[in-house]
Order: sequence, then C-alpha cells, then structure tokens
Amino acid sequence: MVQKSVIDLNKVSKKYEMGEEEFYALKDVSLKISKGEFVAIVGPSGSGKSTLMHIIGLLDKPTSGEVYLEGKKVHNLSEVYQAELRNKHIGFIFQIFSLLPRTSALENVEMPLIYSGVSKSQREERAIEVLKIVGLGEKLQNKPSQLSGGQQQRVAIARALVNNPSLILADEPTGNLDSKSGEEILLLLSKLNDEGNTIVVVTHDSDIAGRAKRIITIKDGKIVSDGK
Amino acid sequence: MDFSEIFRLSLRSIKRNKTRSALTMLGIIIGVASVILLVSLGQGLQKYITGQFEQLGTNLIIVMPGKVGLGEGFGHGPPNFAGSKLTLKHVSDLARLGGAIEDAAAGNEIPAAIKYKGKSKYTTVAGITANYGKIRNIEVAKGRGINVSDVELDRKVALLGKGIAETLFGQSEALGKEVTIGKEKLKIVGVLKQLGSGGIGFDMDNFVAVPITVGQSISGSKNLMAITIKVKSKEEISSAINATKKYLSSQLEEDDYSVLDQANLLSTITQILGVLTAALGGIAAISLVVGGVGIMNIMLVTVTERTKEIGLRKAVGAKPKDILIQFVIEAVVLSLLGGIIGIIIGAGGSFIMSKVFPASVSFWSVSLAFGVSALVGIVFGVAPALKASRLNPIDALRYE
Repeated sequence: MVQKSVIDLNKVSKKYEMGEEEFYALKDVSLKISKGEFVAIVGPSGSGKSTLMHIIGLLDKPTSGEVYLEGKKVHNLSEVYQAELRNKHIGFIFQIFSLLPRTSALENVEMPLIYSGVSKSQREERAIEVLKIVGLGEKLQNKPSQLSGGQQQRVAIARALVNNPSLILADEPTGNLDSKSGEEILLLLSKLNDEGNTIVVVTHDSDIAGRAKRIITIKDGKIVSDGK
Repeated sequence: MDFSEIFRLSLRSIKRNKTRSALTMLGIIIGVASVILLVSLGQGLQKYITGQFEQLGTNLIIVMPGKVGLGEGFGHGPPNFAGSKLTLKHVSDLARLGGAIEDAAAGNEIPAAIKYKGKSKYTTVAGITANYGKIRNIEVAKGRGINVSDVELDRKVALLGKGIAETLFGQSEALGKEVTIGKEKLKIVGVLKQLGSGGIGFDMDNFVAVPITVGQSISGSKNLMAITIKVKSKEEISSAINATKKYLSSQLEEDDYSVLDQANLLSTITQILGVLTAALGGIAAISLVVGGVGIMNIMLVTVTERTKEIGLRKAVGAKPKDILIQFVIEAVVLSLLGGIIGIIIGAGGSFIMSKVFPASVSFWSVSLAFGVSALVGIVFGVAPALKASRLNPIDALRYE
C-alpha cells in the first residue's frame, strides 16, 4: 500500500546568526510522515526539536531545504498563505496557555473556524461535535478557569480537531499535567490516531514517546535515530 | 472574517477592564462634549444676533452721510455725520418714490441728559419722523407714539423707552409728566414696550424719542444722521437700493451719501461669528487629539498584554489582516463609546445652558463629533494594531 505523505522535509536547515557566529538549529534534516502515523519527536532541550516542530507547523521557514505539505511545496509561501494552510491542515496543541482565558470552551474550540469563514451556527455545531469526541459535551460553557488541567488540554485537542486537520502537532501535551491526567490525554491521542488522525508529538519524555508508533530522536540539529 | 464576531470580541475586552476603559474614554468624552458645547454656543449666538436683526425690522436699507466703508474694501471711513447733507426733504421724497420702496424715515441720535425732578439720566435721544416707529418695529405700550402733526407743529413731546421710564418714575405714572432735555421741556405722551438692546443702533429700552424737529433744535443742527428705508420685500432690496441711489444722485454729490442694506451688516457679523465658532470648536478639537493619544497608549498596553492571545490566534490561522482589524475595531469601539457619551453630555449641557444663554445643538456638530471620534479611533488604533499584526507567532507564543 502506497502511503501518501502528509509532511515531507527534504534537507531542511535552519541557521541562526548571532553576530559573527553561525549556529545551526537544524542541519540537513530529511523526514517523511505519512497519513495515519503516530510519531514522537524526542530529544533533549536545545536539540532543535522545537525548531523542527515550528517548521513542520508552518510557523517558521527553513533557511534552506524544502517542505512539502500533502505533496505541495510550502516552504516559500507568503505569511498570509501559510496562515491559511495552518488553519486548514494543522491542529496545534501547546504545552501552556493553549486557551483564551475568560472565554468558554465552546468559543475556544470555535476560534479556528472564525478564520476559515465558517458561519456562526455551523461553527457551534462542529465545535460541540468535537467537544463531545474529547468527552467534554457537558462543559461547553465552562471557562478555562472552571476546568481542570486535563480538561483544559482536552479543549485544546478539540480545537486542534475542529478543522479536520491533516496533521495534529502537539508540543509537550502532558508537560503541565499530573500523571493521571497526562495518561488520559495520551489515551485520547492514541484513540484519535486509531481513528485515522496523523499525530506528531514533540517531547523530551521517553514514557510519552513509548506510546508512539514511531520515534524520531534528534540531537544537535540532526536526526540520530528513526524507528520503533 | 466575521465582523459581528470581532465586534463582540472588542466589547468583551472593553468590559473586562471597566475602569481602564472608562478612563481611556474620558479623554474622548471631554473632547466631544466640549466641541459640541462650544459649537452650540457659537451657533446660538449667531441665531440670537440674526433674530435681533430681524426684530429690528427686516428689509431695511439705510442711507448714511459720506462714504461709509463696510465690506467694500479700503478708502472708506465712518459716516460723515457732521457734514451730512441729507435733509427731511430727501426723506419725504424717498417715501413718495414708490416702486420697491414702501416708506422712508429719519432718526437722529443725540447723546443727551434727560432730567425729571432732580433725577438725571444720560442716554440716547432720537429725533424721529412719525413713521420711524413703524419701520423699526418699535411698539408703544402705553399712551401714543410720535405722529405727523408732532413733527410738523414742532410739539414738545417725548416717548420713553421702558428702562428709562422705570429709572425716572419707578412704579408711578410717567404719562403726562414733564421732562427736560437740554433747554427743552417735553411732555411724555407714551412709553415703549420692553425690547432689549437691538443688535445695532441704540439700546431701545433706554432711549427717548422726540419729534425730529425737536431733536434738531436740541442738537442745534438741521443735518440728518441717517435715512431708514423700508423695502416691500426681500427680493426687491437691490431694486430699492438702485432707486434710492438714482434719486440721491440727482440731489447730491456721489461722496455725500452711502446706501447700505442690512444683509451687508448681517453677513459681516455672521462671518465673524462663524470664524469665532470654528476657532472655539478647533480649540476643543485639540482635546480630542489628546484623547486619541490616550487610546493609542492603552491599545499599546493591551497588545503587549495579549501577546500570547495574538500568537495563539495566528497559530490557528489568523492572518495579519485579521489581527489588524480586531485591534482597530477595538480602538474604534472604545472611542465611539466615548464619543456617544460625550455627545449626550455635550447636548445635555447645551440644553441646560440654553435656558440662560443662547445655545443651540446642531445636527452637524453632533454628526461631526461622532465622525471625528470614529476617525480618532482609527487613526490612533492603527499603530498598536499594526504592531499586533506583525508579531511573529512563535515569539508571541513564547512571550512571558
């Protein structure tokens, strides 16, 4: 079976210049992630895994190399077009501050749809649907301050799902949670993967990585191992 | 993107910081309220003066001795009263001219003291022809006015303004009493209605009218200071001016008279008041600019405070334009709310002030204030909003 690749990185480098000194956050990284995969990108802090996540998530542009999203070249697109692609194809889950404060769970989940021009009634319908998937069908009107850490992260997952993205990108999704809540989040992510979602988790925690079907280890801006 | 959604967002964030929003709006509130107050004051004054002119008698043209300069460039001076060559014959000829001219009258103003039983008041004594009262809309409250036979027979009678009658006689009856002006002893035949001071000319409540012939003997001069001509209708003013000029040119030298109409005087005064109103409004508008700077300042703070929100919105697909619009609208809503409150305060203040002072709120000053406050929001909201829209999502998400 030919797997269509969601993300395809070809010799991607990211160089920072600090005065006279050059520093490579990523150096010639090539990587393919196919539809339906559950990938963990692991590495110590400063290894370049955050930079890699930003480039995969179209939040940052590589200094050199090529990035393909669903077969389309995307690394040289304008900011406006990249925003549109992020909106339609990538669902983000962040470690901290992933929700708007003083804003209900429902409205938080609706937010990406506002930027895709979906009408109010359709936004609500879809947001309720995904909040039910993550088990928060009863907490639609709760503000983040009225939700536990695990519940907040599930709202964030619902928001990542709301646009039916090609790829869910999670940055240390359990970093701020106690082990029980973290476990629930990981189970939820596994379940979503079983239902066909492509998931990439960036973490430094090897326990979390163990849940993934594929582990990519990165060190000093290079992939040092790739596999299970 | 959905505008009603952005609108709701901005209202929510304004409500979230009530004290801060109120203080920010205060600048706009003060600016808008003072623009409306000052403009209504200026316009009220303009209306008041125009009204006074109309009370004075509409459709009048005035012949003055000498070359009078009024809105006609340089080289003309004040009226040449001393060398006046205007006579009572001119008045009666002009009155009989017909055509556009309805009537003509003369009124000579002389400053003089009027005395009654040891009380003395220095005032304006006007020697008038019988029809002067009718032309200038002077109404008699008690007794009678100056009539034709008073003038022709040189009767020693006087008509008092309400103010001067009260000064001299208090509550007691003035009719039939004898007053002294200069060497003349005059019997009071009438008292005028209260009028207030007319826009131009003398203070009607404090003036004394006598037959023009008596006035001439008080002043010791036969000269007429002015001839007032009543025109049948507003449309015929220019033909009346032409007829008057034509008649006078057959009698006098070109330099001996000037023919002026009220519209000339009124437009000059209106112009001056218009400039004054604009200047007052302009000064008040400076406070609007200060209010705008206040909005800009608070919006910059808001953008910094909400850096993470901006990063998150961008990460999930907000384009720079979406962020720009969101923050500009927030600034505009803030300044429009201030504008609306300012309009209510300004209009309310003008209304209260109109009880004691001429003031009138005009539609244009309100709509201008509303427009300007929206504009202030846009102009001063753009810089902070641009700053927000240019934030890099990665930096914004990491911002502590």
